[in-house]
Amino acid sequence: MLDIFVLIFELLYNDRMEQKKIIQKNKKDPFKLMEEQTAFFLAGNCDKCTPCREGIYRIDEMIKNKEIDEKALDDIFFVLEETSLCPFGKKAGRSLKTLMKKIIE
Amino acid sequence: MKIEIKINNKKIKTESGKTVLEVALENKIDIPALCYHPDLKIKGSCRLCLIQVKGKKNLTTSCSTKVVSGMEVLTETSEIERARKINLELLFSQHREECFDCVWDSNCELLRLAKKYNVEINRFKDRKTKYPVYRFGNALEFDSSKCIDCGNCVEVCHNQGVDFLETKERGHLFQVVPSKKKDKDCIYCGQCVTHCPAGAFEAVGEYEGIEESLNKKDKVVVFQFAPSIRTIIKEGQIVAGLKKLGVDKVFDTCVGADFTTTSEAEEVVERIKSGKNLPILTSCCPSWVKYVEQNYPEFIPNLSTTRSPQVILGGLIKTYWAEKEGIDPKKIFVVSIMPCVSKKFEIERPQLKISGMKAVDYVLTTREFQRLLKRHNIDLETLKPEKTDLGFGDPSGAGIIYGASGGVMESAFRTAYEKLTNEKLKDVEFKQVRGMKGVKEVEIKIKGEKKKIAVINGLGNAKKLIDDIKSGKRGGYTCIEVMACPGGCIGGGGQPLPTSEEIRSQRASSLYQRDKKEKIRKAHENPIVKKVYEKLAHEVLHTSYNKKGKGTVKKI
Repeated sequence: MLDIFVLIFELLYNDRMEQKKIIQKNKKDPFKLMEEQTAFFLAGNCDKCTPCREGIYRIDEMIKNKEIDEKALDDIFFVLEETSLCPFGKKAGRSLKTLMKKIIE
Repeated sequence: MKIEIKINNKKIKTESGKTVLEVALENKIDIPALCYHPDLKIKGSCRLCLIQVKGKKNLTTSCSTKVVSGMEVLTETSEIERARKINLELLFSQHREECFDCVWDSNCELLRLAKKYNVEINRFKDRKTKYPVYRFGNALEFDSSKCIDCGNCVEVCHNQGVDFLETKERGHLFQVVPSKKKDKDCIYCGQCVTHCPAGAFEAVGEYEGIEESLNKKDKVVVFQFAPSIRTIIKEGQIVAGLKKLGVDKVFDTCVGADFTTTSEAEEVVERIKSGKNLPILTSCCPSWVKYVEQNYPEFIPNLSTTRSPQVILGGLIKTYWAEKEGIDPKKIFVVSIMPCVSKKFEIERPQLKISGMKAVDYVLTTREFQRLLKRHNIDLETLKPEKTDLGFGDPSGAGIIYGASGGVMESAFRTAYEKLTNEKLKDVEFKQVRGMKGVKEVEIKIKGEKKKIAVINGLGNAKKLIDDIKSGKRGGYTCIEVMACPGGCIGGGGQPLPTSEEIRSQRASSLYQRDKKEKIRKAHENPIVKKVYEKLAHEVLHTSYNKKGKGTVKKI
């Protein structure tokens, strides 16, 4: 569990860090990592604004069902980054997006 | 300070301190804003009122952005449209649609925006399909599967001093739930209904039960309509519409208000003379009465024992009128059209029965009445206005102004003044008690003696005043009028949506204009009051109260 917190801390506070390196460092299954990361954001957000509350819920749903809708993901990342109420949602969008990009690659 | 800004390249002169959304709305520029309500704080939760401010990288919300001189704003760009569309799709994924039975009727902002932004309503699966419907007593329902988590209901419930609705974390998601705390209970004011943008709240039976009032073939169906209904539909049209529906008789609740005023004024006079149970607290508002019974039982003796206008008129119909017409009162079915959700609760109070019968058998809200007309394809514009039936005559102006905050106090003092002084009151207008201000404190001179009165609208304001009276911070009041809803009954939970202070002010103003036109403006001068008031049985005019526990909350 510590791994995921270290990773998220790095993602939140060091935007320029390359996602690839982090994944290699943690030697995790990227899908598993994504699931843990969305769970963190789902538990940590305040549920106040629509993109953060509903957007992260939908990402979590896709990961759990292993049914990735790329267009939907792209749209959710867009509203998370552009329209979230606070930096938590904006950063969640950015970090999940880079990680997801890696999974899809 | 006057400033100039640009919205969509159009120069607009405005004042600093306002938000971009307010300026846009004033200038008829369409910016969607679901969680925004002029009665409430800015929350910025729906993320739809997005704008692009020149010089700023990200989109921002117009509800939370204050205008500054020289600001340049765009409200419609491809990026903004995309963001609104996606956020709307996410909002729809937590809102179970049930459009045929929605309090917003055809006036739904969610649907308007869905069309405007070409929204795929079912893009994401509804996540709340299994969320429960809660029924609060016999008056209100909350369908949590329609809630879009904007928080308006929780805020308005808090502003009302009730705090019955709260946000609780279930799993990883917060949701609005009724409080389980023993000292928190719904008072059925229905302000959650009028402030919810998603139609998650409604009165019980709205609209499934509306035909019940008409399907009484073996009964004489008698309708009455409250003062505030005429701020939505003209009296003549109300009567014509009801007659078209097949209703046997239609009477005006304002006549009941004249009886209420006369009785309440008598109580005021008696209590001033005896010095007992002062200040007298008005009791026309059932939400307020319930609030006192539950939270301030020590103030129960202060409540006026006079029944509310609809209950008095219902009682008169089943006693005085039934006898006059030779009708068995058990064969009469009385229906009230009320601006209020709480009146549904009021008619079930056992203390309000007349010879074992309910004084009023059924209550329809203004919204339900409008839906009833629509369901029967009745277009009021095409109908010739009709007068109410003979039997009780026309109300006085004092009865008409009951719908606005201060109306009950003004009516009572028009009568009480004359009873206390034995002098004719020349200027009947107590303008100091009018208006939308939450707390109005006024001193009136009667026989050289000053009487301090307070007029309150919005239950949260009443809570503060009563707490201050309890702690000794404030005092010396003779009368206190309390209406649970903002602006009084004209802003009631049963009125059509939307609501705002501007809308409520217009409704109140229309009642005062009607009062001005009346020849008789004092309740005790109404001919029917003069004729029958003294002969009426105590049970037609008065009621009693008792300390109450928490009402029922059922999961459906």
